[in-house]
Amino acid sequence: MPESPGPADRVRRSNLYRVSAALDAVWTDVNGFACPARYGDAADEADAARGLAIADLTALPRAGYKGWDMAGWATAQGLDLGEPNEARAQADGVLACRLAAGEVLLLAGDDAGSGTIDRLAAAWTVDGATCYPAPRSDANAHIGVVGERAPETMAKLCAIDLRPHRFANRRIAQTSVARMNAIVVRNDRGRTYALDVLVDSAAVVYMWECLTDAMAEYGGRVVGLEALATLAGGATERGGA
Amino acid sequence: MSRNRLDAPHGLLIDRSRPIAFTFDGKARAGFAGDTITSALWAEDVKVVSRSFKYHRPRATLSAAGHDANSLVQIGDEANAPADVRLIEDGMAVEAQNTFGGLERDRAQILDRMGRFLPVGFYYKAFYKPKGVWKRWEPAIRHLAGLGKVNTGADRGYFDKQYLWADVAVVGGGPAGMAAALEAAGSSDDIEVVLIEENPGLGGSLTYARFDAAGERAARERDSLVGAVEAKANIRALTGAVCNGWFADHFLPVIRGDRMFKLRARAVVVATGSYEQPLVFRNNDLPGVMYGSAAQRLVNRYGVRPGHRAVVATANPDGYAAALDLIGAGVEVACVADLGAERPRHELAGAVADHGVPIAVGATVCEALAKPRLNGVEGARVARIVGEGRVADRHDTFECDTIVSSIGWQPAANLIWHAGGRTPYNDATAMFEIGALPAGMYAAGSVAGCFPIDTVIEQGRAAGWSAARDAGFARGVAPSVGNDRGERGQNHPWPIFEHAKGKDFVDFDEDLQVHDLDNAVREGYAHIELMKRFSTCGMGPSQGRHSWLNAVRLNARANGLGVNEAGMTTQRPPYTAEKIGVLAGRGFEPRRYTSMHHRHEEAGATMMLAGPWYRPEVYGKGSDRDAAIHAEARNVRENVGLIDVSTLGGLEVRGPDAGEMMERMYTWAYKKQRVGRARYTLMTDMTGVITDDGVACRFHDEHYYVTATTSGVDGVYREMLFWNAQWRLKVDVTNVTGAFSGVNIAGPRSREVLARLTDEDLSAEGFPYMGVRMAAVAGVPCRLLRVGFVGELGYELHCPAHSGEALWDAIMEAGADRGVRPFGVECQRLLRLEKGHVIVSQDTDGLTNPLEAGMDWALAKKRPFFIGKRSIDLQRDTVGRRLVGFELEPGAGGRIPKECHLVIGDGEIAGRVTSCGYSPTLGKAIGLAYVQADRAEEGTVFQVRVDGGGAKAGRAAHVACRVVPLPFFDPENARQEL
Amino acid sequence: MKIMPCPLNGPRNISEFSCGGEVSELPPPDCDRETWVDYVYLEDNIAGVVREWWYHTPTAYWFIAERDTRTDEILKTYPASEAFGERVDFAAPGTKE
Repeated sequence: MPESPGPADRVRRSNLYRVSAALDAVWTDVNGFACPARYGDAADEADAARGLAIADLTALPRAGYKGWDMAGWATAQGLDLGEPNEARAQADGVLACRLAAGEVLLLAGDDAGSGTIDRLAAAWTVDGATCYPAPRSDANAHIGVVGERAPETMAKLCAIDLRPHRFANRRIAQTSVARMNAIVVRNDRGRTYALDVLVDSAAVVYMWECLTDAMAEYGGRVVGLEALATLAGGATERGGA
Repeated sequence: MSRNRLDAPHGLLIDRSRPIAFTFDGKARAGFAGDTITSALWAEDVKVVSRSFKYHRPRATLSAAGHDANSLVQIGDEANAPADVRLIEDGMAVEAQNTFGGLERDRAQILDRMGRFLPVGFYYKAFYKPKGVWKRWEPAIRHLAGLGKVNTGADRGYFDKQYLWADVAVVGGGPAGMAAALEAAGSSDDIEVVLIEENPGLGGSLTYARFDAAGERAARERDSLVGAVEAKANIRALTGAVCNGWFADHFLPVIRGDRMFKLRARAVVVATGSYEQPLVFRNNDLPGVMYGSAAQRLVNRYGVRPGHRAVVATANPDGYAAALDLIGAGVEVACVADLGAERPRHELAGAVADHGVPIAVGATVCEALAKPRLNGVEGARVARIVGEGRVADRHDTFECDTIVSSIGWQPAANLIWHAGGRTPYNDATAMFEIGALPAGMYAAGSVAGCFPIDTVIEQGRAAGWSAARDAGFARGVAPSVGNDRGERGQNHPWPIFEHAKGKDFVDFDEDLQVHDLDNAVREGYAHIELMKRFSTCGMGPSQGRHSWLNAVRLNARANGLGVNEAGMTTQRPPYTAEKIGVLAGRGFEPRRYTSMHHRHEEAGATMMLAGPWYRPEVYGKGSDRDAAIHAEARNVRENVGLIDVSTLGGLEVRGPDAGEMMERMYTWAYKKQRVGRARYTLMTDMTGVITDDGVACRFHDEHYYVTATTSGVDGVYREMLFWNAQWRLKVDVTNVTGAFSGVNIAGPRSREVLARLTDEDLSAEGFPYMGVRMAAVAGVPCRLLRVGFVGELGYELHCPAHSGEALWDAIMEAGADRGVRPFGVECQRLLRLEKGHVIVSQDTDGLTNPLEAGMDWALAKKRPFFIGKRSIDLQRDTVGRRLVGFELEPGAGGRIPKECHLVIGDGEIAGRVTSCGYSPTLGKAIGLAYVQADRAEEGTVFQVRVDGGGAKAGRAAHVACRVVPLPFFDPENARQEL
Repeated sequence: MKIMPCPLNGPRNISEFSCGGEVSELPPPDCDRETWVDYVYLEDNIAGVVREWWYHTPTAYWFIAERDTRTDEILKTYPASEAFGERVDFAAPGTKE
């Protein structure tokens, strides 16, 4: 990924950008944000992330729809929608996380590919609407918690059993993490266990501190987007998953 | 110095290759890795580690298992550490507790001879009258009676918590627990078993008890069970971990070191064993008097010889087993006094006799003879038992330094009690036994009254099988359990031999003797719960572990009842002492920062917490706070200011029924509200009390964007969802608070500054007061609201949260040459007060209805329903107080009322000030207050009681205030509607 | 910590929920004063099986639980739509005259 101007030059900024800058992040251009691509050697980071790592993924595109007939509308738009608290990957790598009968959260893949998100945004109109866009892009910050030891780390913050044999890939837990409401989606990167954790964007610095503290015991590291992309082995493979 | 250290194979748990150096009361001491403080000191012949609570008698270990307060010590800043179970570490500085002038020459020991002046309930009686006397004596008494020292300046430690999950949790890693874990784990490779053991290693009684004359059985079972457990991948053994309670749905706090595991299990096996119980006789608290199991722990686990010459008193085979272990450790056993009526026939008794030890049948130790200063045992008097608690006058005296007793057991059923399980007393076995257990809980081993090793293991298997079945892992049929109870674990029904001269201790923690409990009953504290509280029996650190069984027996006898009729007191968690730090854990206090947070800090703001949010209170730090606030206010009134309002709540109300929803939830009319306009919102609850306010912006026929207060928005959202779960209107409500950052730019020059950043028509005609638009500002998509709280021309900009900082920067830059300055929460509060705007929850309270708050204008009159309407209508004729604006009358002498100062009328409380401050704009102090409805007329003067300024400094004074019309400033609202 | 079986999220620690009180029917807005006061201020508070509103905070989800107040046992939980399936409207002013 090419290097790019820093976060403070952008109109859109993750609330974590100062934290990442203090760790000497190398930035990449994602969705109008400067997103940490790596902090040191990306290959090292990918290795570390197999064990335990966290990453600020706030820059990745997100969207949401909510309403009494969200499912009817979204399905009509060709969205592959699972049961509540189940996530399904769409052909372009966008993950459709069904949060309730009438609510869906759309997460772009680590390549920031947002085809499905853009398509739904273009299709939605207020006239005759049975569901409405939710401002997920700004309401939430997005942290990736990756690696074999992620469940133990999360067990210090969260009451849900997230161990791989109890929390299957693409399951969703909407729960309390470090006493903040959070959406936790298991979304493995390649063969590496991974969680996408979405929290209130105003509380992301607090959540980051909690995760940093919790992962220290297990040797966790902060990594950039490239490490996750390496683990996933490219977007096409994930798209087919 | 290791005078009492034995050679291997004694000392299963110590590693003689790893010496450890520590100190006790400043003196260098040595032990081995695996030693407890008690065992290491005992090896060096240091037995006394504390002084007793009330009489300051020297105390040494009783149980060697931490079941008494005798061995509580201070380790650095940590008070009340249990020396019996705490392992020594290099450099550890251990000190005795509760001594004055040293452990050996404790000046407070005189209290022992004053014992008859310290009767049960002494403190209650002596310091009850005259009134206030306790306050004078309390410091001295607390000083004498304290346990350990708390260093309030100690560093903050790091404690944390972690969730754990198990299908089956087994508490207790002895033979029953290990057997249970193995059976459960064997049901399936998928089952997850967690085995919790308090000691550093597994084994339980197999690490110290003796089951056969040869002394081989324990080691054999231990090797086989421990090996099998370690080989099982699906058993996680947590050793050195205490399960401190049982909570609903099998939620178990398990403490290991500075971490608490919060373990959720589907089923629980309680295999927590039992507490050995003391024999009560005169001087039974002397150092050197101990349980049989204590002697066995010292010998077998730590390789420490308990003494040189011992007398054993027993009522079961356990005492004979202890005698054999003593003999094996080179201790001469002078006599075994068997409390039973007949000479036992089991092989252990035979083996003891084979060693030539005299066995006195039907006899007991009735008194320990003390060394000078009570620093140990010199001998034991043994006498024949002639009735319940009575011995013959004639006795034999044996010279000895150790008295060992094994007369019975009490189940360690704490977790069972926490879970609501019952343990009725069985008169035949003289023991509390497990009765009904809650669903998913099973008990095995000595906690369940089972002592023979074969039966214990069978019972463990059966419990493990049942627990696995309950957790969803049924396999085959339940293992059978033999019913051989054997003679082990027999309780003597009355091991209490009161002595005329007393010092026959029932509760060692609290220094309670037999007559103390009898006296408590005699004085009327007859019920077990009353006796406990009056005497404090069972209320010390060991919480009745060693005292409760005998105390209940004594209470039953004194009341002429059976033990079951006397009953048990309620047992609650925790099972054992726990650090506050462990309970607190790491501590999670969610904090929310707005996108502009760092800009406020860079501008030198003093930040304040509003719920979880940080907000700029005032820009500037230090002393001249008022001046800074007033300067900010002036800049808004005369120029232009910028405030971060990101913390404001926001809700999207969308759908064909959005207007209907709004009119049900809020008091005013919204269906008629024009698109592109904002309207005030006021929310009341079903009782008609004001709960929140804000503005509703109609962006589309079917779309309202509604603001709510920072602290109120979550409740507003919840209420809306609650009602629509019942009404089922075609409407969607979404909480978008976190999605938007917000700023309010206010002041005469706000339009000029904003115009530099947007193409939107900002003219008074194009964008009038209370108008709303969607527009790009500095390239950021914004919701533009021409609303304000401060009464100036102003615009509120709500933008995507991730663009908040960029928007702030753009406005500050665009307005730099116009003198734009940020203003904080305090300034905003002052400016809104000048405009007479109410802050919900500051100027309203939990009972304020809109009529009292002067907001009748915001109530829809013709609608059949909004939440709270009926209740407001019912109160329309009974408004007792009104919120009014007031000015301070001249002559207050600079005493400005504060929030919550009382309005006084006719000498009574007649209301309260809700907001007050000095207005630099108006040059006078103004405020809002509740006054009696009939005193709310404009011009009425009322009194407010303020702090200070009275005849004596700090005394209240009254100042006069006059009711004035609202708003105080710009009554025509000309400025904001420019 | 008690477990609450949430119809949307499955079994969860009770600390993720708050209780919204007994399920009771909103009386018509023009009911008599006593009926209204009873509805607003008084709960039945029976010893036995009660129907209660519960709210799962992380998902902002209201549902109904049946609980035995004598044993604190939660007997069943279900979505609010099972009890409240029909749209509720209030009579417009003037329709009664």
